[in-house]
Amino acid sequence: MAKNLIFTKQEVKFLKELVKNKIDFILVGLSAATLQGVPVATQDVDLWFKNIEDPKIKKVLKKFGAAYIPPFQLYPPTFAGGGLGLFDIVLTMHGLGPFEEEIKKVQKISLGDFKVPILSLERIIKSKKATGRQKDKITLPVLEDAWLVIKNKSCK
Amino acid sequence: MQLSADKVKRLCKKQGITVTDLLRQAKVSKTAYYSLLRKDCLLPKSLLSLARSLKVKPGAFLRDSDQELNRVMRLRSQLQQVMQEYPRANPENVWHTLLLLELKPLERLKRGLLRGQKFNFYQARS
Repeated sequence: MAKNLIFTKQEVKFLKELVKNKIDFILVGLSAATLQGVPVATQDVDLWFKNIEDPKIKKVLKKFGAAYIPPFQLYPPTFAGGGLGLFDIVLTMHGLGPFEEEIKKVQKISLGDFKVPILSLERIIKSKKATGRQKDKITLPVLEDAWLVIKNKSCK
Repeated sequence: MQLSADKVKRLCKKQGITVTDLLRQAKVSKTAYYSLLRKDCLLPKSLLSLARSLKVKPGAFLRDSDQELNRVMRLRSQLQQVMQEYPRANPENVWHTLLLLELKPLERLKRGLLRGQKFNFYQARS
């Protein structure tokens, strides 16, 4: 986990490059929830890739002076270098369908002059319920209350 | 410039509350409210003198805080609407969501990351 970093131009640029290079990914987890307006705290930005071995990802990483480190024993896959330490790689999402199905349900949220595909709040809630982890149980009421607000606002 | 009891009543009615509800919400005592109603002029005499000397309205000196006030009032009314519809929701969660929805998505994310790094509350116990 990256410390003392706030989402800088470098991270925004990285997401923009992923979009520009037509790499299939979804921004998931609590960072996707905060982008939608949920008042929760998060420590990293989770990215779910359709295929982490996609050569286009390597090309983008190279541009940033970063590299992909595959999973090893208990260590999850990660990006190293290039100021991309805030990003975490997600290989599977609990309680959801395969990537190909979920990508059809994403929301696109504007980060300035480009849009990023993010998991909708409804899907985030579904996934958090499925994990059953303590930290997810803590955030679920906040996610659910925020969802009511967002639903209420979008109906008006 | 006097306080109009009729205008207060009309505005309360528009929001579906009574004047008593308003006073309770705003934490203003009945005594303070009726004392305001009795005043011939709500503005200090010195301010009125300044305005008269310059032949302008007293409001000409005041900084416009209406916009911020209106924003808070609008959000409060949205909070009330959501809470009426979903009484089991936590009002704090609803309020903070409404505040965040006023910001751009990137700013929302930055705030979430800042809070996460500051408090680090999801660390597992060893």
